[in-house]
Amino acid sequence: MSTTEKKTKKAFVVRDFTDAGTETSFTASDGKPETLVEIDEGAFGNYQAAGLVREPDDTKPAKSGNKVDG
Amino acid sequence: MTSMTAAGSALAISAASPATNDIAGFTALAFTEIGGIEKIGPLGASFAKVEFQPLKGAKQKYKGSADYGALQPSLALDSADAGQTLLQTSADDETQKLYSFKVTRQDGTLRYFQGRTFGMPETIDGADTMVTAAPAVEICTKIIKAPAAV
Repeated sequence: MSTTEKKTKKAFVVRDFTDAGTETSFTASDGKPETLVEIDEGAFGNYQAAGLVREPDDTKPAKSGNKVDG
Repeated sequence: MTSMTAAGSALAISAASPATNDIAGFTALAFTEIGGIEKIGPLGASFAKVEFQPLKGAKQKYKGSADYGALQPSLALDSADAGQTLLQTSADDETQKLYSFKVTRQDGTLRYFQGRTFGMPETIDGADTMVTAAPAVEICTKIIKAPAAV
């Protein structure tokens, strides 16, 4: 019986990449909900720090093609 | 006999820091394996040598400050590899942020530490060689040795 249930979270994949440890490949999301992926929360932190994924909500302003900062 | 070869060893990185600098702290972190590793290299602390030569008698030697050392792995560059990308991020990071590292040996025993990556120069050599990188990870915390995960 395991008590270590891994939490996952939905992620927007910024670009194609592979995790050598889990041998999992991820394909870049195109903004459609079905292209978002569930990623282990711990791994998400590393991928996000590397700029490979981001929170799905962050994708909305990017639709225009330009970032609007301040 | 507990000798082993290096085959099957792995190096992994995490952007997070452990709550405590011990096995429990590092075990709680999620690590991303760095792909394409050819060699991990030497790993271990050394001490500065403090010497004193008295007028009478042999030279005296004392252990000075500890230096946790540096890791200089070599790897075949792969821009799609998540671990390599995070390692490059740590090299590009201009802050003093510490990244966590995990070395897994063939028998499953582990080495944990935190460090800063001072560079990740690429080597483009002859036609029949891979494009490689030689990151320089300076180890900033005591290296924690952990048994194989059960």
